[in-house]
Amino acid sequence: MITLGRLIRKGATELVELFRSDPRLIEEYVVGTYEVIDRVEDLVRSYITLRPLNEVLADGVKVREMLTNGFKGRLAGLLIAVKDVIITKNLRTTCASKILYDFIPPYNATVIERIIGEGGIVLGKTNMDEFAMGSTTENSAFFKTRNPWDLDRVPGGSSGGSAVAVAAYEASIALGSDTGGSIRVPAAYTGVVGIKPTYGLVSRYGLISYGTSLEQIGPMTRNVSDLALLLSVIAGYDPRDSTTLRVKDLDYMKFLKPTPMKKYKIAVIKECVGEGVDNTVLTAFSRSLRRFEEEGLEVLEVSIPIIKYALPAYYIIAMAEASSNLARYDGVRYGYHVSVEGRTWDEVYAEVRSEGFGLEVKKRILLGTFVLSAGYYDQYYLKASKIRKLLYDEFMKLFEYVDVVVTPTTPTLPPRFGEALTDPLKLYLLDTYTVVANLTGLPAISIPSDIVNGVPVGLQLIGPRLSEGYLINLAYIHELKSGLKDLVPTVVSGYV
Amino acid sequence: MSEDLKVWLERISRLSLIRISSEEEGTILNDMRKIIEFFNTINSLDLSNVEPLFMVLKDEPVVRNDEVGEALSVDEVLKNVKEVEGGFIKGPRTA
Repeated sequence: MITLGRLIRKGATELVELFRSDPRLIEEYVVGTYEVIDRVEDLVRSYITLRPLNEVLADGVKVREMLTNGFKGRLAGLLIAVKDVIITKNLRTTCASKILYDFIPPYNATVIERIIGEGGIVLGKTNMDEFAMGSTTENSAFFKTRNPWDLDRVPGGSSGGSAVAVAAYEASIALGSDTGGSIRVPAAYTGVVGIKPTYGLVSRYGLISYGTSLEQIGPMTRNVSDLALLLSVIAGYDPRDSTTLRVKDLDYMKFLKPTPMKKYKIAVIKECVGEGVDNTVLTAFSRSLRRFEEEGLEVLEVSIPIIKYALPAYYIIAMAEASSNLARYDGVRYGYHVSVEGRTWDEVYAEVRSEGFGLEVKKRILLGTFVLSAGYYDQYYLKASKIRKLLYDEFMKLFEYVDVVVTPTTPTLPPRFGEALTDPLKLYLLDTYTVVANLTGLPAISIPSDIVNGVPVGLQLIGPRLSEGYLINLAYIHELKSGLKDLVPTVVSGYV
Repeated sequence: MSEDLKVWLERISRLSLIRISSEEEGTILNDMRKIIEFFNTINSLDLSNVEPLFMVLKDEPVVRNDEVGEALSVDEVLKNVKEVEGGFIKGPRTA
């Protein structure tokens, strides 16, 4: 308890300042974090690969020495949990799949380079749904991760391990990736903050691809300030990702203001607060809206009927892109391998892929192949891409007169284990409100809205292209008014 | 399970180089039927005059200048390969 109490509960922004004034605290913090991991990891299982304490301590000592010599790294001394879909040099990266069970990357993703450059220390690689395909982290090839608020419930997915590592104080901050809600759904279910940035704000170099036109890497943190800090580090143009945007001002810390930086007009989409939403979620949602109204902000209701087609359109496009992206797994150059002696390419590929991929991944590749195949392309893939266009146009029109759209992050509380897997459509429904931001490329943040029946409920804010700063401003105001920050889940409340 | 569906699954499975075991077949077909039914809900829309959107970027992606940079060494590239012969990756037969 002695070492745990002092530093573990601190936010990342505060820790960085503490380490700067007394660099020796880094070692105490590293040891304290491993003590938390020792106590809680067997219960929640966030990490697929956790680096040994001595290695991380050695990194900590290096950062301490750098700080002593005047280093000003913005993440100096922080311990970062990284979703196992992001490539880390010499640190096993599996995508929670048997097909990459022993893959040791020879290079770092751009986001990892940036984090290390600012003095951040990668602590380990976190569990996820295999190839980020899933919304509960039950589809990992290795094991399930549990929700620290209620061990019988899922943590959400696919970035469930990163969400839990942060929520249970097993890391300072974390990275997730979001193709259809994979940062925001687990953030909502575990009481943390997570953002899916504007498409192109954060480099995808070194992110193992699932849905190329949809996905972004983003921060997952216990409070809004930490999110602004990590986003400021990872955002920005990267010559190695031709889809990154040339954005000049990447300082998101200046949006952490206790009052609205403009007279935001907030829109509620009628179709997102009706049928299929739990009453408990709606109650939390209304309470969040009132917090904004108390700030003198206008809340209005709008209707976007096309939104009910967003979910099927999303899954058609995501699966189509997956079938193409996952064609690279052949077992010849890396990963799960069968002997090639005396056999043909097709035989070897088919055997590797049939044994290496899990059931959900196989289904998505098969369906993606189907919607792209001759005779079905027009009916499915093309049509879904037209719905994407209609949805995009609707949101562009909407943002001519409103500043932000709010929805519950998910329609229900976190399911219990097995509940969402009984029917594939039940699982897909968890992403109903999150896929919109991926289809349109717009930024969207999930913040804690309330705690209901002992589990957190999330609020989603979607803004115009590159409006991350304003989303952070609103999220910060909500955090101050609700007091929902640095939450302590039941499972660690005895000692954190 | 109808013959048509089985033939259909065989075709898709051949195209994607994923073999379906007999134990998996039932679940996969059942789930795929449900999912395709769900996909079919978009067919009620008339989209004949709508242009598709494949990428949300406003501008064409800009590629970097073609300059020589640092590359991985052969050893690093081959580190994850299980069958190597004389510095090359050993692959299966081509026919």
